[in-house]
Amino acid sequence: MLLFSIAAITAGLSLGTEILSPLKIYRIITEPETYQFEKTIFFQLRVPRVWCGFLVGSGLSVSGLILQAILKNALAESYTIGISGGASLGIAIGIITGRMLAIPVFAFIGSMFSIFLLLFAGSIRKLSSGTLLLFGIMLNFIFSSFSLLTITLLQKERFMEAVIWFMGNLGSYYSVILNSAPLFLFPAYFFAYLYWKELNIFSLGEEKAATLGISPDKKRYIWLGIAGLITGYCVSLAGLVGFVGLVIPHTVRILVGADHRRTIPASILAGGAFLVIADTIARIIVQPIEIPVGVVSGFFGGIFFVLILMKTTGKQKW
Amino acid sequence: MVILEFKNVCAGYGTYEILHNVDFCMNKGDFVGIIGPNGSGKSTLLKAAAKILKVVSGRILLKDIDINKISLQKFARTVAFLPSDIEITYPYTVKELLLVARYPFAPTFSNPSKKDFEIITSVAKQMDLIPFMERTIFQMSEGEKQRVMLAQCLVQEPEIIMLDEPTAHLDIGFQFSFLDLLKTYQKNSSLSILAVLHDLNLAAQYCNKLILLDKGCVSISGTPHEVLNYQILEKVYQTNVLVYPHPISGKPYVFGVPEEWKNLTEK
Repeated sequence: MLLFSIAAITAGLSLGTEILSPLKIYRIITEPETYQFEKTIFFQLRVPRVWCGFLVGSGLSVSGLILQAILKNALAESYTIGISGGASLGIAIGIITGRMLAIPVFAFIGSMFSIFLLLFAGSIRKLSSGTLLLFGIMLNFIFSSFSLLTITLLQKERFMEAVIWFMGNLGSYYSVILNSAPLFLFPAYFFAYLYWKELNIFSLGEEKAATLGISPDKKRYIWLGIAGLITGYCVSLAGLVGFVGLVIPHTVRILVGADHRRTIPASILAGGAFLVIADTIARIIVQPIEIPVGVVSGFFGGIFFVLILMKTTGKQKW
Repeated sequence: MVILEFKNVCAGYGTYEILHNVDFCMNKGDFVGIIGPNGSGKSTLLKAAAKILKVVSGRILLKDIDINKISLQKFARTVAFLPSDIEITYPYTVKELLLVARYPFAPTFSNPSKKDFEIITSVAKQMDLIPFMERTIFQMSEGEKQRVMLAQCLVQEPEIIMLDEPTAHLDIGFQFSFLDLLKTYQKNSSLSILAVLHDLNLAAQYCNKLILLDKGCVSISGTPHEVLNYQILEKVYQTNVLVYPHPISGKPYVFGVPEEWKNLTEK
C-alpha cells in the first residue's frame, strides 16, 4: 500500500504537459540553479497539486470510512448524507458573490451547515442510523435543487466556473487553504486512528455499541462532526470530487479486512494515491485540455471497483 | 440472591409506551425465558434491562443498584447482550469480533493485552471456534455466526447474559446445540441468563423460570409448569392449544391445533 502510494506520487510528480523523469526531479532538487524553468514547474505547480490531490483523496476516504462505520451502512459517504449537497449550495452562493476565496469558504460553510442540520435534527428527535441516512439523502436533494436553481440563473462564464467546481478540480485550490489543511486534517486522521476500537464497535450496530459501553447517541454526533470537518476541507480545496469516499473504503476492506486499526491508515494511503493517479490521468489524457478529476475518478474508479467486485463475490457479500 | 429486579417499570419508544408496570425478579444462576405473542413487549423488556432503552418510570435494579446510576462501561462489565439482528455489515474476522468485546475492560487506546488473548482463546475453545478464528464472518453459516455472537458476549465475562431471540434463524439441530452450549457454560460459571424466546417448547425445556407477557403487562411468571397452562395460553395467544408433558424430560410441551381439527379439542 505504501509502495503503491509512493509510485502514485512519483507518477503524479513526473507526468504532465512537461514530463519530468524521476532522475530529472532528483537533479532539480540537488542542483536547482541549472534547471530554473523545470524547478518553477516542479515546485510551483506539480508538488502543490499532487499534495492537494493526496490530501483530498485521503480526506474523502477517511470521512467515508467513518460514516460507513457509525451508520453501519456500506453506502454512507459524504455524498449520501448531505454534506456535499450543502457544499454545492455554498459553491453556488460563492460564485454569485464572485470574490476571491468566496467559493472555498462558502463550500466549507455549506458542508458544516448540513452537518449542523443533521446534528440539530438528531438533537430534537432520536434518529436511528437508517433514518439519519435517509434524512441526509433528502438534505442532499433539497440543497442540490437550490444550487442548480442558482447556477441556471448565472451568466455564461460564471456557469462554466460552477460546473468545474461541481465536477471537482484539483487545479483551482487556494494556497492558504492548502497550507492550513494539514493542521486540521492530520489531527482528525490521528483521532480516528486512536479511536479505532470505537469505530469497530459502532460498525456492529447501536445495540452492541451501547452494551459494550459506548453511548451511541452522543458519540455518533462527535464522529459526524469530524467527518463533516474533513469533508468540508476537502470540498473547499477541490470542489465536489465524488466516488472516492465510497469506493476506497470498500476496496481497502477487501484488501486488508475490516478492522479500523488497519483500514484507517490504508484508506489514507490508498485514497490519496488514487486521487493523485486520477488527477494525473485527467491532466495528460487529452492535452492540453484538463478534464475534471471527478470525471476520471468516477470512470476508472467505477470500472476498477466492478472488477474487484466480480473477483470477490461469492466470498463476500455487500 | 436477587441479581436483577424490575420494579413497576414502564418503557417504550418516544411517547409510545409498550411496557406497563412490569415487576419481576431474577436470581443468580436463573435461566429466565421471556415469552409472549408478537408485539407483547418482549424485546422492549429485554432492551430496558440491557440499558439500551431508558425506562419511562419505575426502576431496574442490578444487584440492588439502579441501572441509571451505573455507567455504560461498568454495566458492560456485568451484562452482555446478544441482539436479534446479528447482521454484520463488514468482513471482520472471528478473532476481531471477539477482541472487540474486551472493550469495557481496556483503555480506549491500549493494544489488546495478553490476558485479552487468553480469554478469547479459552472462550473460542469452549465454543469450538478455534479453527474459524481467522475466517471472516461472511464465510460462516447462520448457526456458526450465532455461536460467534454468543462467544462475543462470553468474552465480556458477564454475570448476566441477555439474548434477543437467539434461536430464531436456526434449524432444530443448531437450536438445541446453541442452547446446550449456553446451558453448559452456565453450569460451569455462575452465569444468569435472560432470553426472549419465541418458541414456547424450547423455553420450557431450558428455562427454570418463565415470564409471559401480554400486551405489555406480565400475565404470569413462574416455573414452566405454572406458566404453560393451557387456559392461560389460550387466552393470551387467542388460539387453541394442548399441553402435554415431554415424554423424556417431563417438562410441559405445547401443541398448536390447526383449524380443521379444532372441533375435536372441544371434547
